[in-house]
Amino acid sequence: MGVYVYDNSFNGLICAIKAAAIDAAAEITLAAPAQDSLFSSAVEVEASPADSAAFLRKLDGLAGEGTAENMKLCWLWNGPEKEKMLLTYARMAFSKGKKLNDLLADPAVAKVLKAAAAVLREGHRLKGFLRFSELSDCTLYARMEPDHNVLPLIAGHFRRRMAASDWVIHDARRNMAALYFGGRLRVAELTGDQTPPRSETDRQVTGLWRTFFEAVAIRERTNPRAQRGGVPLKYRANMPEFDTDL
Amino acid sequence: MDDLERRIEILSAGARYDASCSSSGSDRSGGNGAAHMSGVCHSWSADGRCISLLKILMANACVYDCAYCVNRRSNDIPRAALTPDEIASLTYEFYRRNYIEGLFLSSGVVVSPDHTMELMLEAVRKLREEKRFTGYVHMKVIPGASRELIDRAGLYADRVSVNIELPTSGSLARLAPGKTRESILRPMSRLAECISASRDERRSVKSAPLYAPGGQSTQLIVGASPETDLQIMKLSEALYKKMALKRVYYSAFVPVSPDNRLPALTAPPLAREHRLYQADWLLRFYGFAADELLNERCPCLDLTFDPKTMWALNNLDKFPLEVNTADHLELLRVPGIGTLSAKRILRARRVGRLNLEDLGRLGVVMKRAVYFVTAGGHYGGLKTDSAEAIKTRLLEKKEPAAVQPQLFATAEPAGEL
Repeated sequence: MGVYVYDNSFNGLICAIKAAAIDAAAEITLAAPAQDSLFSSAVEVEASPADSAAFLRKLDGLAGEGTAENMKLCWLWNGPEKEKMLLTYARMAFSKGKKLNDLLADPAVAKVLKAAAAVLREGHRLKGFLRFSELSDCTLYARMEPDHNVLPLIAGHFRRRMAASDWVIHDARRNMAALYFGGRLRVAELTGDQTPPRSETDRQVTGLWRTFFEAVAIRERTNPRAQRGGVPLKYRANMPEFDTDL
Repeated sequence: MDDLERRIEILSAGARYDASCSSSGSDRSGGNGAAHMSGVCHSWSADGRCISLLKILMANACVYDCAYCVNRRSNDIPRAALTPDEIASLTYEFYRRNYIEGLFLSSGVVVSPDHTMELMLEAVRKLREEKRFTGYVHMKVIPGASRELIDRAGLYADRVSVNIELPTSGSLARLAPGKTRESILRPMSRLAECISASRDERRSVKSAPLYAPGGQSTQLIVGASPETDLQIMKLSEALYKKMALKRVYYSAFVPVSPDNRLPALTAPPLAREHRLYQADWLLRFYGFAADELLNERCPCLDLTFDPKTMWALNNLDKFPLEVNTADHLELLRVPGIGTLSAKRILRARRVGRLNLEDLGRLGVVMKRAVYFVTAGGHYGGLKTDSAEAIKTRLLEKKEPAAVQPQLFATAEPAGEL
C-alpha cells in the first residue's frame, strides 16, 4: 500500500492523484513532516502546475468536459476525506469514461457532484451577501466567513463589476484575501482582523440601507422562516442590515 | 432621522407591494457594475421576500384613486419625493457596497403620466450616463404616458413593466376608476413591439442599442376582486403567448384601507397566491395549459394540494409512469419530479436502468412521486388506485405549515437558469 503525501496545494493534490491513480491501494495524505516516521513508505509528491494541468486535461478527455471543473470545485469544499473522494472519482474517469458524470446514482460520483454543487451554491450566495464598507482611504473592504473556500470563485465576479475601485475581500476564516488595487487582482494571506476606520459617508449610507431594509418589508406578511431560508443566520454577522448593535 | 432618510422610508414603503425583484435576464457590463444573467439575491426582508433591487418610488403622490393602492389620492399618508439626482446617487452608493443588483423604479402619478415618466427617465438617464452604471435597472412604465417616452424606457432599463393590476376590465372600472384595460394594454404591446424589434435588429447589427434585454413583466392583485383562478391563469397564458412576457407576478391583496368596494379580508390570501405561482410555473416550464389545471366546474386551485398533484390525481389513468422509458414531458408531469430531476433522470438512465432507490438520489421527492411512478416495473405506492386513498396518504406525510409563499421570493427561479 502506497501513501502519497502532498503539500496541501491543489496542484500538489492533482499530482498525487496522478501518481496514485495506478496504485489500487493508495492513500493520499496531507504533508505532515512531524509524522514522517509513521509513513515509512510515504512518497512525497512534488506539486507541478504543468503536470497537474496536463492530468486534468486528460481527465476531461476521458470523462468529458466538466470533470476537471468538478475536481477544482470539490477542492474548495470544506469537508472530510476530499482527497479520497477525488482519488476515487479520478480512478472512475479511467474505468467509466464518458459515462462518469451521468452516474448520478453512484454514491462516489454523487458525493463529488454534491460537494461541487455546495461550493457553487455558497459562492453564488456570497455574490449577494458580501457587504463592502468604504474605508477612510476610499478602499472598499468586505469581510466574510464562508464554510467553503469560495474566494477564488467570487473574486472575478467583483472584478467585473467594480473594476474602477480598489477593494479587498477578506476571508476571515481562512486568513486569505483577494486584493484589487490599481486594476490588478491578487490573492494573498491576510492575518489579523483590524481594519482601518470607515469613512463618515459610509456610516450614513449604511443607515439609509437599514432604513430601506426595514421599510420594504410588508408587515402583514411577516415570515421569519422564509427569511432564514434566504439568509441563513451564519451569514448575518457580516451584513449590516442584520446588525442589532448599530 | 434626517429628511433624506425619512423620504426613503416613505417611498420604499410605498413601493413594497410590487412583487417583482428579479434581476435576471441581462448581462450588461462595461461601466460601473454588471448584471448577472441568472440574477442575484442580496438579502431577504422580514416578510421572507428576496431583496435584489433598491425598490423605490420617485414620488408617492398620485392623481389616481385606486381602491387597492396604498398611494391612492384619498389615503391620508405622508407624501414625499426624491429627485433624479438622489435616486441616481443612492442606487450607485448602495451598489458599490454590494447591497443591491440595481434599481427598481416606480412612481405614483404626479401631475400627469408624461410628467412622471419624464422624471423617472431623467433619474435613470443620470444613473446610466453620469454614474456610468451598468448594473440592473427595472423600470415601471406609466400607463397613459406618450409613446415617445415609453419608447425611451427600454433604452435605459434592463426590464420594463406595466402592471395589469386586476384580471378583468370590470374590476378595473370598479376599483381603479382612472385606468382602463385599454390604457394598460397599449403601452404593454408597444413595449413588446420595441423589445422584439430590437432583438431582430441586434441579430444582424451587433452594435444596435440594447432595448430591455431582460424583457417585460407585469403584476396583478389577487383577492381584491371576485375573479376565479381559472380567469387569472387564462389571462396569464394569453400574456405569455401574445405579449411574450417574461413573468406575471401575483400579489396577494394586503388590505390597505377599509374601502367598501373591497372585500373584508383579515389577512392577505397568501396560500392562494402561492398556488397561483405554482400553476404559473406549470404553464411556463412544465408544458401545461391553463385548461388542464382548471375548468368551469373546478375554477379554483386547491389549497391543500399543489396544482400538479391535483392534476395527477384527476388523471390517474396516465399513471404509474415507468421512469426508464417515459419521455421528458411525461416525466415533468409527475408530482415530485421537477425540471432538474427530470433532466437528471434522462441523463442517469443513459448509463443504466434506474430503480426506485436511485430516484431519491436524483432529487425526486419520493414521498409524492411514489404513487405515480414505477422503476424497472417496481411500484412502491398503494395497491389501490383511488385518488382519495392517495390524498389521505399524502396528507399524513405533509409537513406542518408547508404552504409557505416562498416560490416567488427568489430573484429568479431555478427553472430559468
